[in-house]
Amino acid sequence: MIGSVLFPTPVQICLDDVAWHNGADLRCIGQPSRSGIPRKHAPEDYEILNEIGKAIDMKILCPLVIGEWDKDNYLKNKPGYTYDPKGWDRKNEIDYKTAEECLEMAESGEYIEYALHGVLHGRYDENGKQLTEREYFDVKKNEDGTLSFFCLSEDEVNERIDTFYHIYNSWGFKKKIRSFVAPCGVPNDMPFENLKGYADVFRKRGFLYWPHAAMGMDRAAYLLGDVLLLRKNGCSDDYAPWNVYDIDPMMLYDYSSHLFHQKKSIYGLHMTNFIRYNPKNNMENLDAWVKYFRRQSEIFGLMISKDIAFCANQTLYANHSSISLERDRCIIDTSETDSLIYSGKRDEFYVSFKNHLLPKECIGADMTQYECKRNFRTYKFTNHQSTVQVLF
Amino acid sequence: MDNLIRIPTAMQLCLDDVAWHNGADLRAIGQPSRSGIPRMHAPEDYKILNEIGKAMDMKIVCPLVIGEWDKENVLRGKVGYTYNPHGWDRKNEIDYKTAQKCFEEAENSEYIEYALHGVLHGRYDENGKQLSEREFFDFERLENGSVRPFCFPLEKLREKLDIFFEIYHNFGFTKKIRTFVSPCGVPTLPMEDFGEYAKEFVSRGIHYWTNGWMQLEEPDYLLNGMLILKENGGSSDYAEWDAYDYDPAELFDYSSNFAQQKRSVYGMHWTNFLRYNPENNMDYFKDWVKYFKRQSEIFGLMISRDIGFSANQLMYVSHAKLSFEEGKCIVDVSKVSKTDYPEKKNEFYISFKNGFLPLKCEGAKMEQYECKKNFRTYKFTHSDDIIKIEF
Repeated sequence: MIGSVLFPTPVQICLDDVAWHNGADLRCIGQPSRSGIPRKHAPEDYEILNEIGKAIDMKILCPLVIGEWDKDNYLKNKPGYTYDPKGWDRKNEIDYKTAEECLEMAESGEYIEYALHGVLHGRYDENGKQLTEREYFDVKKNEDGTLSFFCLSEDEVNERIDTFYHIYNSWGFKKKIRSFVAPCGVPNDMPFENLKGYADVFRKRGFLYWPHAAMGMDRAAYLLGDVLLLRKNGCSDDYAPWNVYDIDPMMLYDYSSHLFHQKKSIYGLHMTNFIRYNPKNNMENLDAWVKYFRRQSEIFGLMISKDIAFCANQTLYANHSSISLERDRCIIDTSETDSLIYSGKRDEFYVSFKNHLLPKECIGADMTQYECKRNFRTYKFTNHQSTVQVLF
Repeated sequence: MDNLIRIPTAMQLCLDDVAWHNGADLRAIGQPSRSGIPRMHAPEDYKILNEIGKAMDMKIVCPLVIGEWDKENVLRGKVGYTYNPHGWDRKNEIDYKTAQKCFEEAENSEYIEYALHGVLHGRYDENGKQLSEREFFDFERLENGSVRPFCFPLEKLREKLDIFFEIYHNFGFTKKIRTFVSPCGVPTLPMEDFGEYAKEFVSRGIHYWTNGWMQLEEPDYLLNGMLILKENGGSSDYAEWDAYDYDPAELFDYSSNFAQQKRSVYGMHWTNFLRYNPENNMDYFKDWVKYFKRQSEIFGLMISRDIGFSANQLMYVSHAKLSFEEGKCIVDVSKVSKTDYPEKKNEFYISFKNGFLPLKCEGAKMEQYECKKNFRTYKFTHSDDIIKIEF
């Protein structure tokens, strides 16, 4: 029976680098890598995200880089934020008609959930020279040429978030943001304890989720105060390079075929991966994408997340609870999860059972069938006690 | 008269940055911009060029960057050519199976004509730091911060060309190269400064040099036996150099940019014709053919057959004179005839709007070449410098 019952990993799509106006990677002239597509972004780029989300019933997490929306030139003469602090003039550069259409598409997209990514995805000196693409970590060059990264002070984190929201609010973005995704991730050698200051700030700002790709994280979820670090798949390049558009989903391998990734719930890709060079062609790939994600949902051990909160909660149970099997029943022990203090935790979790081992009765929770796949079924458990028995 | 009779520009497609193995633009880490598509190149990337060329009956000019084919590690330890002079080891990095398939697709193609672009599209210092993406020109930084570009001494140019051809021949490439396209264009130096380059190229059988040539007013210029051809102003007027998945429906007509109408070389990039999944390359094939056929319906344009065809026709576009006398069209090609250009032919093409078609001709043999919706194009093989056409 081992391998026939498990907590499925809720696959949650997280698409970095949403909201750039210009997509071109201009690192070669000291500007940000942006979204990587060498054209301007269009309303259709938001539309395709919403349509994919709708088709798979998932609010797609979209970490925003907000700087190019700066219609009040708030970043002008603000050292540290931009490659052009003195000449910054988005007020006169923005294509307001397109921006307005993008805003409407994003705001009205029920399946687009914003996250905070950054202002311009980097840190710059007073002359606009880029110091690092890691906007939320300071950097120092060592004598041997290597780089060391340091956490920002709480004041600076707060200032950066204030700046983000100043621009965000100036345009009338309204959706509540509850996730933070650090541009270029957290430095690999950064101990999690060092991130405590960020967690304190984030909690006060209402951020409960921090999808995160650091290699040093050996668990799929790590509770940092009241913020849950959720492990992204190691590197999106395993799936699709960050700057690739026109991806044919047929080229992608299954999320879980990489065993190493199977327990990581955040499927980190990039906005660009879902779009086409001609935005009018974006929708041509919709069916293929939907087919790809539906195929993932047929893999025993995976399920499609509904949103970041759903994902975080199920990931918490999957990582802090256990299932043991006896001859006619399985015992689900959630005591460790129950002992965790976290605002994002709910009294519900999901367990998948292979078809030859379907549950008949449940003791210690309310059990309902959630979804039925070709080779297995997934049940939702609510009102649970710390020990739940499922009889076959 | 210009509205009824025109010597059409023979539009010749030229696609920079062909032959990279890895397409990824890695300038952010000091490597070349390459072809700009973030994947490895595949045989299908050559196949689509051949198919488009075949459909238009044009040999597409493909300026090659040859460095990644260096299976003998010719560039190892060679300062100036690569971002990694000491660790260079293409011998062990090449995916030989794919490379061989790409090679065969390119070599067997009747519609892919190679041109010389460069070894690795840049110049590097002894530690591999990139100095410039302009492989064929040096520059000096002046005290005021500006840069003064200049041409290499001849020995240096010869060395570069020798290295290009050494790698080219090592892999077994055999096609004759007759065109040079300088990576990232040419600096705006006086034309005489390029004279020694031209002589050296001609001595190696390279007779055409196409780039943006901002310093030139005219679309062509003859320099020591080499014909300089001015490309359309900047390929990004048409498509960003690194844009793949390019939908030709987004492209405006070649001649709608009037200033460019007389420039015969349509400079784009290989990547513009590719898809991220090479198996999908052919998906836009029909659209590309449709786009180019639409261009051929524009009065004043025609589709070139190859760079020689395009260059020859351009000589007539630039230097022949059309006038009307007593109801006859007089074409004076004497200036072309006097031109000291060895590749020149005594044939050229004229387009006539329907309703104004030629009946007879003196001084040349006239034959209908192609028939379009609003005009017809005739081929003239002239025996005299003055051609008289009757209607």
